[in-house]
Order: sequence, then C-alpha cells, then structure tokens
Amino acid sequence: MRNFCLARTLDEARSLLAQWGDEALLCAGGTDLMVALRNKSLAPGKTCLIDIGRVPELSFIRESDDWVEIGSGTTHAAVAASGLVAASSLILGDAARSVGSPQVRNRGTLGGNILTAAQCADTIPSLLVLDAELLLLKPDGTTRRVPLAGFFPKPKETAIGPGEILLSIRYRSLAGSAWRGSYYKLIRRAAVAKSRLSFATLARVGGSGLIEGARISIGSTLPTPGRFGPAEALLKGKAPSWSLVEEAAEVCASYMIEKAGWRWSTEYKQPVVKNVIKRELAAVLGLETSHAE
Amino acid sequence: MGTGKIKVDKVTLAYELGKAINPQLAYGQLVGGIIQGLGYALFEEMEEDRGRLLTTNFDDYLIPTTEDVPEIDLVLHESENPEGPYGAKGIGELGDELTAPAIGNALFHATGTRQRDLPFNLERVLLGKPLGKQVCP
Repeated sequence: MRNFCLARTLDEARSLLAQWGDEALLCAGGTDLMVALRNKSLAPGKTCLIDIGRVPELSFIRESDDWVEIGSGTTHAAVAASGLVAASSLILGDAARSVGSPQVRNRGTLGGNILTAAQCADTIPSLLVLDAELLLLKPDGTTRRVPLAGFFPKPKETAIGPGEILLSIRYRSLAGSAWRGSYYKLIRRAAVAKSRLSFATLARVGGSGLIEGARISIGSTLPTPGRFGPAEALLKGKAPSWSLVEEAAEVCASYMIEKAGWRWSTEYKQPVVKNVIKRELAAVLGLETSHAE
Repeated sequence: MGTGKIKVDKVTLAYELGKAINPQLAYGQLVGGIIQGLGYALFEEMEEDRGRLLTTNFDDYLIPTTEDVPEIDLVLHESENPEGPYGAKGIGELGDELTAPAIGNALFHATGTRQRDLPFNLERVLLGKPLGKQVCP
C-alpha cells in the first residue's frame, strides 16, 4: 500500500475512487483491513487506501415509513446504543454489542462487517433474518438496491460491483409487531473473541396460536451466510411445541451438513447447532424452557 | 445447554503461607495466579504443525478478560514457620497451578466425565477430544 487518501465527503470518496480505479481499496473502520494489511493478505494490485471512516453522510440511523435505515459507516457502538434499532430489529442491537471490544465497536462499522463477508461476522445473521436490503452507489452516480440474501456468492466474497460504495442498510421495522427475536453468540470466553457460532432467530405466533413466520440464520455454519429455509418452512403454519422445535433443530443440523459437507468441525457443530437452536426457538415461540445454559 | 462452554462462577482458595509479611501483596499474587490459571485451564493453547506455530496472535491465543474473572474467595491462613525469612513461606507461582485441577474436578462433578487434557475448551468438554486449530474461515 503506497498511498492513503482521506475522504471528507461522499463526493470526495467517489472522485477518489474514480481516480484510483482498480488500485483503490475503501477503508471504513479498518478493524479487519489493518490486520490484513499487516499480514500482507490483501488483494494484489491495491495501492491506494481511501479512508471513508469520517464521511458524515454514511453515519446515521433513521426511520421513515416502516423502514429503518442505517448508514454503512455507522459504528457498532452507535448501532448497539440505538433505542430505535433495539425496538425495530429486536436483535441487531445485541449482535452489534457482541462485536469485539469497546475499541473495535467504536471503529468497526456495520457496512464493513457486511463487506468483509466473514462467515463469523456478528451482524450478518441478524440482518439476514430481518430481510435487510443494501443500497449501493454505482460509479455513474445512480444507486441500486439489493437484498442481503444473495449478496454473498462465494465464501468471503460479496456481489458489490467495481467502483461501488455501500451507502446504507435497511430493514422493515418490527416495532409493535408480534415478532419475537433472540440473538445468541457462542464464544470461547466472555468477550473479545470471534464467534464460534452465532444464532439469529425471529418468530411470530398469530392469534390462532399457529406460527405465522420463523426466520433462522446461524453464523459460521454455511459456506456463505444464509438462512435456514427448510427449518423455516417446517415451522410455518404449525402450533409451537417441543417436538416441533426438536424436529426443526434436526432439520437445521442436516441443512448445515447438506450445504457445507462434513468438515473437521462438524462433529462439534452438529450437536451444538441442535442444542442451541432448540433453546432459541423455544424462547421466541414462548415455550416454557427448563434448559439453563 | 450442550455447547461445552464452561463458566466458572466462583473460586475458593485457602492458602497456608506462614507469616504474611505484606498481606495485600500476597492477596494480589494469589488472585493473579488464579486468573492466570483460569486461562491455562480454559483457553490457552499453542498449536503447531510440524514445528510451525499456528497460534500467532492474541485473537487465537485467548487469555481471560475481566469479564471471565469469577468471584474469588481467598483465605490466607497464617502459621508459624521458623525456617523462612520472618516466618514467611514462598507463594510465588503456586496460585496458578491449582485452578485447572479444581475446574477439572468441578467438570467431573458436573458431567461425570474426567477430562485430562488442557485446555478445557468447547470441543474437549463436549466431545472429550480436541478438534484442531479453530480458524474463522
């Protein structure tokens, strides 16, 4: 890396990006990028780091109509502290709060967490179950909106185009709805560690007592971040019960193995995915739980 | 809940140390030892592949954070010791050697499984064996 540019505005970021083309690398919080830079594991041919971490237009949390929109440069600390996020997402605030340490949360951004595309990214499972959408700024100045689902074509890769900037992430507010949510991050110590597995679960039980919708995403289980569709389909339209939850847990573990194959870690993850998702589903479906951690 | 995760709620250590010349220093030494022993028991592991170290950073080589530190009940028991200076006995490193066997015994008491290899990480506790280096892919 030979050059460093600090963009003060979005316009500056765009023109710098146009100027440096393929050699440019955008940097927001830098919490992953700086490690990669030191390890010399960045993509080859990148010679200019463009810091967009201080672009004010990228840092905001706002609500309009039913949508909550979060600027890509919003820090995890800001997301974690937002009452709007807590009330509207049920789980994203917890996920942001579980990221790294206070120092990392003060630097790292929501957009950076998505674009790094790590399997163990803390916020991606929550955003997936919220059916989040991304707003991308194209080099020609127009924007495009894409769902987060399908944004990860390959492990550690995203579908962001050349010269594009991720502007914001939005999801429909769940405030005041019947949706209930839970986020659980399994880590090796109490804090400041990469997640081993992370569970984002949302469910809604209707007035008839049947499950109107269930959404599950489990980080560090699939080759690319995604939802557990077969388990969601199984739950929908049924009455919550322990036997249903057990069945859904089996389906989650089978789906993981179907998608990821039998890996060195599967022997551990298979039982743990089942054990934890049972508890998570029981919690969001309002089942009595006697399973203490 | 079936994840293999150990949470240490409380550590009690009674220590017979002769004369505590500086009780506060003795206390600090033993509490520090317990916490270091906690890392030794639960997290710290240096993995290698044919002589090449795989654990090269503190994101893999975990040591306890303040949030991992349990309630600590420390009993300093003073006694007469004519052999040591001013009646004292050494307490340098001994605090950290006791935590792992105590946690191992607590694990046996809780699960009925005797685990003889350190650290007692997620995989060892759940499966009774290690699964190799943990890398976030």
